[in-house]
Amino acid sequence: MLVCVFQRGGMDGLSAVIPYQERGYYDRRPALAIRAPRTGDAKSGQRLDDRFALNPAMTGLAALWEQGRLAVVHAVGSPDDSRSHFDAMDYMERGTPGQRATSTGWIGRHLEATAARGGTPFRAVGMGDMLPMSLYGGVPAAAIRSITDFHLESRGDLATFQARLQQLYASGDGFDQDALDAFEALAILERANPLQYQPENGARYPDSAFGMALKQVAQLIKADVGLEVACVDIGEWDTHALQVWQGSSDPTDGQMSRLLSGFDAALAAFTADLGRRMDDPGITLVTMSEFGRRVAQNGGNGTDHGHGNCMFVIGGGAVPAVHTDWPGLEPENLSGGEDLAVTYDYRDILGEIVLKRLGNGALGTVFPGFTPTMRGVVRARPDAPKVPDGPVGPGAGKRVFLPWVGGQ
Amino acid sequence: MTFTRRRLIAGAGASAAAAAVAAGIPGLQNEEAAEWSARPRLAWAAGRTRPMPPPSPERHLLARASFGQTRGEPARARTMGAAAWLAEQLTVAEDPGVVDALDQLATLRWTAERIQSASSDLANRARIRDELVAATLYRMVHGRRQLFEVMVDHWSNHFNIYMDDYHMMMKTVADRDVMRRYALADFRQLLHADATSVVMMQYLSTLQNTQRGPNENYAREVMELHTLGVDGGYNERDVKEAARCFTGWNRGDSSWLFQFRDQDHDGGAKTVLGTPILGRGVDAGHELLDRLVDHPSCRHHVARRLVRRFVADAPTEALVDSVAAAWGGDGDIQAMLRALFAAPAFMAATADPISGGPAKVRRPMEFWAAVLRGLGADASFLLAIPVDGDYSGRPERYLQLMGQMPFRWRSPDGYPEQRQRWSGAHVMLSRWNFGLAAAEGRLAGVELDLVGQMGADAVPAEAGAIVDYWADRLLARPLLAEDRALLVDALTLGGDGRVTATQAAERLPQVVALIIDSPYFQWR
Repeated sequence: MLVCVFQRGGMDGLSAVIPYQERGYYDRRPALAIRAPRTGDAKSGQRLDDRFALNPAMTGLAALWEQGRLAVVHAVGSPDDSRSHFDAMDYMERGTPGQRATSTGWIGRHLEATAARGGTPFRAVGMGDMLPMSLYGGVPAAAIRSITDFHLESRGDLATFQARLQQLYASGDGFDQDALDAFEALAILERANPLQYQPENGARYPDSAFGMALKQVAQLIKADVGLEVACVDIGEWDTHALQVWQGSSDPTDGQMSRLLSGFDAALAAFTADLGRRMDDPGITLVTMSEFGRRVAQNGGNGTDHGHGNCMFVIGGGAVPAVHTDWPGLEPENLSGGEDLAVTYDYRDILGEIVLKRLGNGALGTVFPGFTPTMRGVVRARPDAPKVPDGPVGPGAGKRVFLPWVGGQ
Repeated sequence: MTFTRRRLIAGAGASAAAAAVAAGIPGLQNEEAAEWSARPRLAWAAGRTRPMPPPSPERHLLARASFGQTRGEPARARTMGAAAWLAEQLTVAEDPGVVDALDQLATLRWTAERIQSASSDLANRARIRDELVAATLYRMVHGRRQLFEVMVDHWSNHFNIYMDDYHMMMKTVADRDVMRRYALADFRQLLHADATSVVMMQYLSTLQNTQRGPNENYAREVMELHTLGVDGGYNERDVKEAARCFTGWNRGDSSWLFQFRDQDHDGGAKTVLGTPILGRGVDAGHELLDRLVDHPSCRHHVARRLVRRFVADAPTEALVDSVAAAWGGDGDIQAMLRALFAAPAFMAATADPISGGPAKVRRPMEFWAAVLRGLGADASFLLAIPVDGDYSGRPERYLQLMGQMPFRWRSPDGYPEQRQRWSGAHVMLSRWNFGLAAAEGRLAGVELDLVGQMGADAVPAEAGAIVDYWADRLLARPLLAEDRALLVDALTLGGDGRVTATQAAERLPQVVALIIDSPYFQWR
């Protein structure tokens, strides 16, 4: 079971995971740079290892780190150079950077390659109004905004109405699929009774769209509706201005802290709510964003579109370390002279999760034309295809596993 | 009745391919596998089971160039002819009744300065935003200038800004002084006006773009989204140079109107798209905008977006070229629209060449407005502005549920056009619920007397006539015989075709809801 979180707008990975040994980080971000970890200084970075620290606003992730359930990947991203949000997101979600002609998404292809259990419109859901590109493909996925709103309402006889409507939709006109999914989803949710939901383990979801979306993912997991993949978006990361308020000398005083803290609190609630379900062989949550942001701050205490970024992998299978081939922040190390370089392809990380956690060895289908390199970011499930770290060719892992269903 | 996938895919012609795919998957029952694999192909299957008949030319035009047909309008358009109907749309004045109704939304007339001073109060911000939303929807439902309103919506997406809870209240100014002023004028004026509108300068960070701290946000989007298109022939260097052209573009401290700040401008030499920018100061940015307008990629990009709006999600280049050919010197919007609607490819675009299904989906806002227009509903409920932006229990709530309130798309690319982006069980369900609520008279503040409307049009008390009347009122396409029979049966419950007034009153709402909620109504 995979939860894929997309941070729309280009998260500033250098604010989330701070390279506190880098002089260039402090030189080029005089107003934004977070202080190196220091005991007793709540506004300094939270130490991960000798080079990296978490933003002090991300206390939930720090706790997961302590529990050994968080992997951090840095200087990761797409090999495509685009600094356009839409191109970069599109490429990333299609899983074929630079190729506009791909009509399906990487998760869609994963689901197709493992087409097996069937019988549920909830194999894959996108929490939101619209289906994310990554879920496009042969297997229908539902875009769901709120599962409690999911019912038909009429003054008349609903069963007869629904039966007639179903007949009208057997026309093959392109909406049948949506209609079919809606009818099935209605039936399933009626059984699951989501209104009764109570988060467990004292989990408290923030009252944000992202928090509510993750809460509903947790509901669907626990309702055992056959969920295999959930995509959740969190926006507002296009921080061209005011990552730190103008004139403030406190680098934690501004939009960035607010954004990171909201992000962190929802992830912490989700992991708490799911408790031991997050552990082997349960759920893997991975975060990504279309690109990182420029190393140097701009004139508005913000940052412009950059390149390399960080990703988080959460769950019992995560290997707790900062996984990186750190390129450095000296001018000669930067992409285009200004941006953090990408040394790990994001498909390495996703491919490793697909193979080792979702048990799907058909990486050549999921990421056509690309050979993911295993970076050791997650542990393999006992029954996953056996592969050593390093590049994994399209032929690797010939067995195709039936995916888990629900939150086992 | 049990609803199975098998019934849906029967005859869809996809099972052979599906079985081949399924054969490679171990541990599967072949039939199940075929079902699963065939299912996604359904939407794209060429051999459709029951193709909906095409609409008549005037209904097709109304479906695309307006927010949906109203009582009597198809007949009027048919009598006038398409060319005359379009000419009328391009010149007609707004209905005085609409102007009067909107008069009570005072913030629509506020100056930028007034909006700014009022915005210190959160409730005012919500009011400014929600009055603009109300006016926009009201005009969609009741405006006489339907094509104009469609174009205002089009440009509002082309030059999208996101009106959130706390910012971007200046959209009211831009809507009035940019979108509505130039919606049917020329693209050059529209672009310059938009570039210098304070809300766009806020949204794409022009206000933060200075010589000391250049900000590329606007420079990139103006090329990628507003003018050239992402493959329009610019590179990263052009983005950086373009950003320098716009340094110093800002607003007046108290007026909140465009003002250039020379001290923030980067006066150094600049080269964009291979040619030096000669203008100095504020002229550098305007020169760049003109260069973008004159670039061949611009007319194609603008034409492509128009064609995607009105004709097909994946238009042919030939049609895009023919619309771009009407560009003239400055991007003549009316000429492009005339070329578009006169093109044989427009009238031919009632079906999608790939799926065989209809070519353009009704997105939620278009669906919502079309329901109210089709039923002859009075949308005056819009004029009572909600408190603190809370739309619970109101008809607009369905727009939120379907994910398309005006000015609520976050990223600068605007609400998407493609049918696939509006798919999903949840959107479908909300469409159905809106149709049911509207037809059953459960929309708060909307008085509807369906039986009374039939009486006024002297519809015989016979089930077939009643179904035909509402299908004619609401749909662009004729009903297939079996669908008509299903609706007749829903009215008679197996009777002889005659219905009493009581039966009609009782059963009619669900029948009308079935028409609205059917696939027929989901397409433009």
